[in-house]
Amino acid sequence: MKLELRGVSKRFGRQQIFENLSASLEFQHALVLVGPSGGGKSTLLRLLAGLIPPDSGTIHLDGSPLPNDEAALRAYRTHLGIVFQAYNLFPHLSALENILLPLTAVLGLSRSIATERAMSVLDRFGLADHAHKRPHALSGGQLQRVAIARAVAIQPKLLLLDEPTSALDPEMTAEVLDLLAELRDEGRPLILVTHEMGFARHTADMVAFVSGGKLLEARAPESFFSSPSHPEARQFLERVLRY
Amino acid sequence: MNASLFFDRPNAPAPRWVRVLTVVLLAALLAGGCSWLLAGSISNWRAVWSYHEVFWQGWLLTIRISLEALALSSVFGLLLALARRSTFLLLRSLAMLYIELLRGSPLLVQILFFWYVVAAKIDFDNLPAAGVLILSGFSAAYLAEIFRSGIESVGSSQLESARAIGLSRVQTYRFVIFPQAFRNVLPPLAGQFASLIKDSSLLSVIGLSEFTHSAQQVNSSTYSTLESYLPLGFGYLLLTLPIIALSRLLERRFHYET
Ligand SMILES: Nc1ncnc2c1ncn2[C@@H]1O[C@H](COP(=O)(O)OP(=O)(O)O)[C@@H](O)[C@H]1O
Ligand SMILES: [Mg+2]
Repeated sequence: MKLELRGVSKRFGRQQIFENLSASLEFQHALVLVGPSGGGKSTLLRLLAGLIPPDSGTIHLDGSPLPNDEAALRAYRTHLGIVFQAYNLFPHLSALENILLPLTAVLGLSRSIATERAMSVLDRFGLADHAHKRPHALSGGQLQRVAIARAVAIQPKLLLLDEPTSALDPEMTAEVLDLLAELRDEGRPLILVTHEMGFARHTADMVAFVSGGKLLEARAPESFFSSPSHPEARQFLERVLRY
Repeated sequence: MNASLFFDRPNAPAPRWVRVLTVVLLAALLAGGCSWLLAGSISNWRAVWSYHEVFWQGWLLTIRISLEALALSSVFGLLLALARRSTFLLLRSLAMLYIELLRGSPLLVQILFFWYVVAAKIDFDNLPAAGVLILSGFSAAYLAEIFRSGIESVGSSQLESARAIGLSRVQTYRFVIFPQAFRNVLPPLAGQFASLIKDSSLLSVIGLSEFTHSAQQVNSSTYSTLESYLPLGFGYLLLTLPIIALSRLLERRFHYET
């Protein structure tokens, strides 16, 4: 996959997050974004997802630009699986119904076909027993795996994940990371924001370092983690890898 | 007897017999009050009974007006709530102005104004229809605020989730907002519906022969105040208490943790 940013600017109120950001990132399966918090990783992911429009500039995925009207963006998003930082399941729907909603309402699948597909994904993720539970009855790790199942069930061209493990304890984190590694091995392209450096190192085929609204470095994980070239990246790695 | 017996705390609930005793005491209080009020009124009851058809017709009209206003104000209130959230500034401001004007003035004044001023000006002389419209317009302003708070109780992260999975605006309302908002607005909604029924009594001032008006008629013909107004109170409770009970039932049925 090839992700290109051409002169992208974005501001929130008076705060300029990105200013004329240009970059070209090529990756095979997994692009991992790392960097200090507040650096703009989530904003970048939202821009990629077409959830917020850039103030200027364009974003190209595999050569084609993201559309800029909401109707076309909605169509574009139906090919994306998006998983946020916080839990993003709907609390009034069971795990299964959460997965069914985009399949039936957005992709227009019949209920029986959608149910079959949703159940097979839940089954694969070891969640079949929890299909009829509402989110409040699921653990954090299960919630996030259902959220990923919902994103995967639409058979997206690209998965976007924003710190999917940041609210989880180590055991649940491992649960979710195992799942992501599996998806990556299947060859489903994904872009992931994470603070799990070990995971980034193992799974990514490209690591991008985002800080202060700039994309300071983008390299293969081995060289990024062993010898980061940008001083800020070096500092960041020293800080997060100290313990 | 020790008053501390009647304390009912989460960690020290009142024993069962104290609960029973409480009910008995309240019943006795009610019965005492009634027998004091009703003393020596048998003959008046006979006089009033001969007017039971008037009560009955008034009660039916109150039910009819309330049901019509309930339906109309629900639709209008929902539209107002959506207008109140519109990104189109003129529409939003108009909805806001409407809501604040109608919530800010007494219903009695609105009834007098819309019937004697506005309806007269446009030669609208259908009294029951005017009653329904005025009541609906008033109640819709309150319902709009109830609906709006219900809609806004669904957090922004869920709205972003809805967009992320590709739901349109209409689908987001249908599949995400309304089902959750419905549960959140049930208790205040039931309260507002009960208020609407009670408020319909004010329509008696423009001569609409609903329940309260009927009771006033009976009173002025029989000069038996208590016997006219006691059934009146009961008649309203008969309508409002089931609504409140139903809302409690639904509340429990739709309850889930967030
Ligand atoms: N919706 C928003 N409104 C205003 N400011 C925002 C919004 N989203 C993010 N920001 C600001 O943008 C900056 C970058 O945030 P973010 O992209 O979330 O960083 P990261 O994900 O790397 O921690 C932060 O300073 C944050 O406060
Ligand atoms: Mg973030």
